[in-house]
Amino acid sequence: MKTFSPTDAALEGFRITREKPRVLLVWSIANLIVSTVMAVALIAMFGPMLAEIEAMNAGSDDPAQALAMFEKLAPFYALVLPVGLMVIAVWSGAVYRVILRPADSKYGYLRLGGDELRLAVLMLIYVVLAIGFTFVLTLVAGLLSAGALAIAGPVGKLISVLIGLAAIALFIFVALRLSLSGPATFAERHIRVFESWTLTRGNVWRLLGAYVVALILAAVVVLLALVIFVAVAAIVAGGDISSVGKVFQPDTSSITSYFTVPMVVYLIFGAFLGAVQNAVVYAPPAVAYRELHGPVGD
Amino acid sequence: MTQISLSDTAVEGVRLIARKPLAVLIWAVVIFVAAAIPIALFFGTLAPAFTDLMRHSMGGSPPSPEDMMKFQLRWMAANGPIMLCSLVARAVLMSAVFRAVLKPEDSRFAYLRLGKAELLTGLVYLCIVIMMFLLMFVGMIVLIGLTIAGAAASKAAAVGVAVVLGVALIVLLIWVILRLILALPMTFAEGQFRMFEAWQLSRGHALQLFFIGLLAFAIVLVIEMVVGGVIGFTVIGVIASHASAAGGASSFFHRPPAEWIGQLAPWLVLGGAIFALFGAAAMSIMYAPLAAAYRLLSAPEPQATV
Repeated sequence: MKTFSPTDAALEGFRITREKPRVLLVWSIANLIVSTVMAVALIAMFGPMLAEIEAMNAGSDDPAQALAMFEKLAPFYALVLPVGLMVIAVWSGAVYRVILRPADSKYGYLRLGGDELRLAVLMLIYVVLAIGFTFVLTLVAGLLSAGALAIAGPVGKLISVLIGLAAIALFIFVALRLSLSGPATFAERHIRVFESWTLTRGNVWRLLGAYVVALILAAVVVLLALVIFVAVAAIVAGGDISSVGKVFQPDTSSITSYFTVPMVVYLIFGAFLGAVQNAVVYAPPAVAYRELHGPVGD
Repeated sequence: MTQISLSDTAVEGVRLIARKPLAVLIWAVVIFVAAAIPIALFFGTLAPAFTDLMRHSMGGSPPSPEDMMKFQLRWMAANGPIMLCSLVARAVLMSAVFRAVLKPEDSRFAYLRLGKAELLTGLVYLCIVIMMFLLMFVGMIVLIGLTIAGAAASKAAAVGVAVVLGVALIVLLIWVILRLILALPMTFAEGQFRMFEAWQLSRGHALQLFFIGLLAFAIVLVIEMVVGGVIGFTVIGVIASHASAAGGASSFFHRPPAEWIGQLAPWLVLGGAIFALFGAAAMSIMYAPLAAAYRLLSAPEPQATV
């Protein structure tokens, strides 16, 4: 059975950022451009509405108001979701390219082509599959729980909780077994929905370990960076912490009110941090795929 | 399979203190400074806002939400650097203990450094702590869910489920910690982030590591009882003598805080110094066995002679 080192997989993203600083710079600049363009577009199109929704949202639990809010937000999501999907596909594609096709380094490994389109389609397929699987799992777990409650009486509650926990564990297990689909689709230039299942046989614990460590490290890096950012910003602002806190709740009513000096600094900082985070999060499955599948000929 | 000698490994920290008392003394100074900086930062950042809040509360008018928000923001802003400072200090001191055991010849600056080894060791420590929190969180959800469900059958069943699962969760947490803990000296020694490699290294040794930890902890506990007792009785004695001179404890503490803190300051500093010395000794006793166990388990197996 082929295996891989979970520690190496978890750290691959950090290795990329250390060994390829120019690539990290390109990703940071691209990240900054995307977040700035998105912010400008969203504020220009929906800015006053977002501010109004925020005001509506404050201190209201009325379902009718929530529905009205959702109706207002529908066009906003219609724009954000497809763009967000493509952005994720481009970022994950770039990280997969560094690991699986290291020689293909043009444009800092960033592209918007067939590979990215396949990754976006794969994500959509997985969203649909996840919804369907969750529905079936919930239905089966619900029926079994109802049966246990009817047959086993008071002990049935205990059994039904165990069934619920088993359903959650099954969901996580399936997600882990299918987690190499992205790198497989990228490497083989075909949408691979279930190939990952065969590849990951016997490696579920290693995958879980790699993903948990990678996510923890990503969270630690972000938290440490934010602590340093807030501390430095507070010193620059002459100890005025509340002015620093405003970058986390920006004024979206107009472009000029959004792009304050602290906000611009935060966007630049966030772009760099986002680039590091993308590398750390998307690299582990690509490394696991490379080790478990072996080289893929072009 | 390599066996770990329980008696040899568990007292490695005590041996280290006997071998390098000056280094341990310098580590105590580092602990003292590392504790003093956050305390100064904490009081420097929060004392004025805290005094304002207290004045409002004692004057009968509750503080406004804006004042509370300001205080919370300052609290959060001070908390981050304090935690960072404490993590860096722990990584530096832990690495110093590992260095003293694994590379005794590298004794410059009392084995203290701040470099890649410290960064990686600190990161691994943080990772293990977060993983344990996550495991505990998931375990608690399972425990609470099953206990509530068990309560439907009977109260006794709920108690039974809670006790059995609670014990199982504690055993699981200890077992996972024991399997992962050698990642700390391993990362330090190999200069690479190590996590699951420690899992392989500790296979079949969890029980030995448990007893080593238990013995080291028992030694720390004995020292803590002695030192804690001495500090505790001294503190009570000093406060009692100052309080009686001021006409009772109540009138002593009702004076402005700056006044009574000033009076107790020399004793607080002395207590802090003793506490730091105890901390350095405790760290040596707890961390050195890990390095010794790693050294034993990672050593190549002796070749069988024909």
